[in-house]
Amino acid sequence: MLEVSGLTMAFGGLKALNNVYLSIGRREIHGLIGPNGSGKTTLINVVTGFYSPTRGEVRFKGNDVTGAPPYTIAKRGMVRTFQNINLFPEMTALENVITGHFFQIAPSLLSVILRSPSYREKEAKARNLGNEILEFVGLYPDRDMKARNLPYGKQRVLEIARALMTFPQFLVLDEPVAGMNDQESDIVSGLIVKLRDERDITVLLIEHHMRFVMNLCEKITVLNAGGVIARGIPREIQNNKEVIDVYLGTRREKHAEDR
Amino acid sequence: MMKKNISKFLLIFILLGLAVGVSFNRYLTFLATLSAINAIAVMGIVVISGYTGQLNLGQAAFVGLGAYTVAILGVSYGISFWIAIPVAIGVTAFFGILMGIPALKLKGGPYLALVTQTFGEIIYLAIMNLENFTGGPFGILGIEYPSIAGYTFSGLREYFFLCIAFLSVCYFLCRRIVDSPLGLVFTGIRESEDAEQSIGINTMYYKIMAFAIAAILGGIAGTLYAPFIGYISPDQFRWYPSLLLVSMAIVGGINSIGGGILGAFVLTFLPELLRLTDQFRLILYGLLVIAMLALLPEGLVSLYGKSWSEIRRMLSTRIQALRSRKLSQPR
Repeated sequence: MLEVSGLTMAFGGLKALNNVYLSIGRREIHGLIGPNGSGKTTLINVVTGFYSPTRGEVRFKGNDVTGAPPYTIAKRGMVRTFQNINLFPEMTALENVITGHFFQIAPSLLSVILRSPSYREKEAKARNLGNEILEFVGLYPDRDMKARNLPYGKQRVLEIARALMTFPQFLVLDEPVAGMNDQESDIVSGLIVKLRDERDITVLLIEHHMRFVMNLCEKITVLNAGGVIARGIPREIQNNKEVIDVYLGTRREKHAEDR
Repeated sequence: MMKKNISKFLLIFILLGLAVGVSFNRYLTFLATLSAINAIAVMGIVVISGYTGQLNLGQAAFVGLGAYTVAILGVSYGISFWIAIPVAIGVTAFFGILMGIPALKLKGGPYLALVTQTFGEIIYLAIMNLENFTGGPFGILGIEYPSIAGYTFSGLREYFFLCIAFLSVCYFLCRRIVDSPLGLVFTGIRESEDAEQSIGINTMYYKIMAFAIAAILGGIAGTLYAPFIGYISPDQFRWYPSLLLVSMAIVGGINSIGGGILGAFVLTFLPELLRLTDQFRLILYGLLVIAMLALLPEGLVSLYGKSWSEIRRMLSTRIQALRSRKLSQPR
């Protein structure tokens, strides 16, 4: 589904990514972990077209999409969410998800002005799908709330719902459960499995929440200082000495300090 | 019940007053016609600056392009007003798209304001210097009232009704656009371009579309303005009227088509009714805009349908926010 090869991203003298290889198969739930500043979000930004890489190639479904504008990549079926929730805050939840379906209907200006039958049909369809998707993720009761007035956890879920309205084959989630409690993150975890099982959606996700990643992901890639230091199934990652040293070790210490 | 709808009654009262004024007083009819023409141009600003969030300080240039198209075609070539309108729409859409292109890289903000204002100045200079075509600084005289099937809209009142008809059609079509998913996409450009790109929307294409719509509305206002005044010259379409049009949008409510129309009427009538001279007008506009941004960032239209106590509560929370410096930016 996704093939990343030899990816290097330099900001001035700093190499945020250095010769990264990554391969994700269809219907896989793939975790991307690593300490802060290891290049996870940069990798996602390059893969989804928000940055053009200095070197290397990104292939999605066999097509070279390196440096293509983000919207064209989204149209091909790879849709992302953002680490800092990126909703349309002044729109209602329903309007947010309807906008998510826009590129599928893309009515022409003329058809909107004339309210042509085909436009009205498309508009009604987008609205129905919007209600359905809100029902699916459990936000239907909040559909007329402005996005900015929703609690944090619901905003994250709404962003996923909006992404789903594009009918993606590949979802890229940047910290989907950040700031959520265990109960909320279990709901998101269940949602992701359901998306894979019922809609054949492949998922790449960044997350710091270790229990969430280890329980959910089939494969994990570990980044450190812009390079891949390990890849494998959760059990292998948990027992990998290097990973424990650079990542899990420091995390444990940090958690010990926090508590 | 009575109290709840007080501002609705106020609006009906004003509209009635306007209707009576128009039927008896030529001066009020003149102002109402000018307001209607301004309102069409302000609607363009609501679409581009309110919904899409791209501050446009060059709207008067598009009014000018529309006006000059009608004037040149009518006076020099004897071409009818009704044929000149689609030509003007084409011309202004073209220049609107042209102005939208530099906006693609700027993502709103003060630089875009500079670009749009400069664009207006370029149009002004072009009109000034293409003397053979535009009459240069002397302008174009003797633009005739339009006629249809032998009937000429020659009287002030007849022309007023023509402008109101145009305003209504433009309002109706604009509402269709902004209430559609296209309107959501425009709003999305204002709220987060990255988010729109991430869900497969070509923000560049729709931003340019919004610029074109705004330019066309300015152009339509211009085609009505030229025969109404009868004489046009380049300085009528420079940065000052552009700023005035933006002020109208802010005072009325830049996020609502109805608000834009309200603002156009208020700012066209108010200085006249107060009998202000030119310098005092500028002060009045400035004070009104500042007061609006501070107290009613959603414009006068946000008072619509509210009772006095609700309005009082709205203002007091706003003043409290100002005091604690938690200013929310107008959107």
